[in-house]
Amino acid sequence: MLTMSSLVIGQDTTGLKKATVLLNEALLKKDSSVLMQLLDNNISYGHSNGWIQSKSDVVEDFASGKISYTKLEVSDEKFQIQQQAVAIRNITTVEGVVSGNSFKMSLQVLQVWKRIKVKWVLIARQSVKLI
Amino acid sequence: MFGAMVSFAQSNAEKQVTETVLAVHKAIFVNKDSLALESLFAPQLTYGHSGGKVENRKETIDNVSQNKSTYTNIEAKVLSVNIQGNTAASRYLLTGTETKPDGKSTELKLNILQVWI
Repeated sequence: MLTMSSLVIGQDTTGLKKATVLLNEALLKKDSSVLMQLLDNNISYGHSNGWIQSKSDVVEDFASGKISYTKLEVSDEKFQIQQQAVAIRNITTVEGVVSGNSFKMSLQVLQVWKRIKVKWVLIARQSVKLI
Repeated sequence: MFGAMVSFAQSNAEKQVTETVLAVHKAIFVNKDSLALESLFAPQLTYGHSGGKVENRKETIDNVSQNKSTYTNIEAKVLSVNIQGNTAASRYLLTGTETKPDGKSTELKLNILQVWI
């Protein structure tokens, strides 16, 4: 692990907020081509029920309809901008259906985004159910 | 011998991340070692709990050193390491038993995500 150097170079966050909005839109619309672009090939995507999914798991579950979101509403979003990556925490109110059962809950979400070449990709995600 | 070869095949960076992930795990759940955490945690660390509570660096370290739970049969297994340039995301599975000061025990099974820069 690297400790902070004395000279901190600002991270260029152009396009990051847009990427986060595109991600939620893609999750709502089950847009697998956008998900393919935004998710890192080696992403670890953790759900609040304990599932840990790979990129193909996530894309396939939306394509097959195993998970379907009808609402994703983000609030209290905080960006922690580091030179190497950006960690975002927010509260997301979600509604939808998983394996035929409808759900409605608030999640504490952590997303880790990394700028790779010119685009932002999600390298890790974890949500937990707010209790 | 074969096992040794397999572990050597793992990249150095992955090995380093794995060791560091387990060092944090031990500092929190085995040794309650706040000094180790002082050297391992980034200044801007955020630490999210399974119930949604999010702590900053100081709160996390204070709570670890004041944690009165005892942990038994604790096992940690690193499930994945994703290295992207100077950033790494790793998951490990923690299992074991937490016993609170009042004697109540809870079985733990947590998939823990750590991000390193």
